This record gives sequence, C-alpha cells and structure tokens, in this order.
Amino acid sequence: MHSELQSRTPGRGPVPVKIVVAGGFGVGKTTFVGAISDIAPLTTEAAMTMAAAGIDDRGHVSTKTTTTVAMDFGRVAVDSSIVLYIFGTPGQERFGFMWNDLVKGALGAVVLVDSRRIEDSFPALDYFEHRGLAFVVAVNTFDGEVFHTTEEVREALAIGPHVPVVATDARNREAVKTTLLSLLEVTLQQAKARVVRA
Amino acid sequence: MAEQNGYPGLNGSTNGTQPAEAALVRSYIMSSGRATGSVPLDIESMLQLTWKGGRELARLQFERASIASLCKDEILSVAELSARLHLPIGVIRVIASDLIVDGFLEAYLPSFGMADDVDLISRLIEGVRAL
Repeated sequence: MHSELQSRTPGRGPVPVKIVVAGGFGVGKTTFVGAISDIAPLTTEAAMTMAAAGIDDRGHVSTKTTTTVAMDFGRVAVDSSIVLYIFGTPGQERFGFMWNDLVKGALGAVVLVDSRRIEDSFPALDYFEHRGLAFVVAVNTFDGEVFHTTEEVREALAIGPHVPVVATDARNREAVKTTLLSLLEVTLQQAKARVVRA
Repeated sequence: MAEQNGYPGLNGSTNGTQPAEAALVRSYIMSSGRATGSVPLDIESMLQLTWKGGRELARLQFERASIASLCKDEILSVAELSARLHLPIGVIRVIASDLIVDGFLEAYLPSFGMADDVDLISRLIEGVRAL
C-alpha cells in the first residue's frame, strides 16, 4: 500500500474545481447547472429529504412542485485535465449547515437572483461575504421577463462595486457560460491582486 | 484564501507537492483504515481504481465493491458516487477513504491554494470560453 500512495505524482490525473450556485428556492439553480453540464444534473442523497417535503411549498413559487434538500450538481470537462463541478446549494435556509461542507475549497460562487424575490438571496450573499469567497450576482430571467434591472438589484442588495451583477438566463447555455466567465474573471483578478501583494 | 482548502492535495495537483503532504500521507498509511474517513475527501475529490484495486476487486464486498467498481472505468467524484449509489456523501467519504488507505483507490484532490493559482484560473477561463 505504501507504493500506491507514494506513486501519486504531481500534475497527473484530473484536477477537480468546484463552483457553487446559490440562491433562493425555485430560482433556477438546477436549470443553471443543467444548461452547462456534460451530464444530466445529479442529486446527492440527503437524510432529510422526506422531512423537508412541503416545508418550502411557498405559494408564489407555484410552478415548482417538488424540491429536494440534497445538492444538485453537474460536471463539465473544461480541458484535458480540469473537471469543473457545479453544485447547487440546497435552497432552504434551514439547511445552511450543509453549506460549509459544500463551499469548502470552492473557487467561487454564483448567487442567482429572482428579481421578483430579491430578498431570497440575502442569506447566500451574507454567507459568501462572510466566508470571503469570490462571487457574482446573476439576475435570472424568467420567460424573458426582467422585473428589475441589474443596477436596481445591485442597489437593493447593497452590493459593492467589486462584485459584478449580471443578467443571465439559466436555461441558456451561452448565458450560463458568460455568467461563469464573469465569476472566473473576478477570481482571476483577486488571485492576481494577492500575488502582487505577496 | 488558502485556508478555503484546508488540506494539501494528495496528488499535489498543479501547485506542486507541499512538504506537509508526505507526513499527512504517512499518517494515512499508519492508520490502516482503522480511523475511518482519515483521508480528507471533498465532495468534488475524484477517485480512480488502482492496479491493486483492480486485482482485488472481485474480493471486495458490499459498498466497497460498488464504489471500487464504479471507479474502474471512470474517474468519479465523491458526489457522483453518492448520487449513483444513492448513498449519503458521508458514507462514500468513509468507505472511499478506507479504500484509498488500502491502496485500492487513488484520489485526485482539488488543487491546494486554487484561489491564488493564476495559471489554473486562466486555463479555466480559456476552457469555459471554448465550451
């Protein structure tokens, strides 16, 4: 067994990278993941799935009839070695404890916002700001309707100028790509800034 | 932001091998799987069957066999194993950790200090742009 462990050499094999997609219940996290993933989004098992049934049956999210407390995620082969995993956070605040596990080691996060329910994204914003994790705010378009401009959302959420607020469409692969790129640009700028300081 | 990923990568990944890694890996060997979950696997940590694992595959049982089998032809993350086997992530972590200690699985962990890795992030940007 010694030799197997020692045989791990740097630079060989895949490099997994994790990005997290957060936001309120029904905001389109799984749709977002599915738009870019190489595989149909998978769901991990969570012990509280049954107990949570019905808790989030919020009247104004009538089009979403089922939910899961588990994480939905997708996988994207970015190049010959980098594998990007995109995890949707459980939408329920009460399952915030799962986030530490989920966010540990993440490169960054996308906070998806439904502009009809901007306040639903507060917990995610607070959480990522507190963790010091790079993130962008992406206002999802529902059936082509935009209820507030990105600037209005920025103002409502009191987001500083260092955090991009972009419009996206979780159903659209190109829009999701663009959103991920805006996040990656933020992480790149932050990495460069730290390299310069160091 | 290096603390985001508070452990060294077993495979060293793109950041090269940290001095602390060798000691960490040795501690896994000494534990011989008794301290379950001793290999710090993240949900995105990826696993692959080793040559030794392949040789012993037929002798493995239950979840150990299921996990090892799935990692034979594909390199899969802890999260994917959890989803495919309908087992909680925690269970996959513990069993996969044992299988790594036994030398049956090889782990590819997220790059240590990824958030500061300008080269890695640049490659990501190029790759996503080309999708």
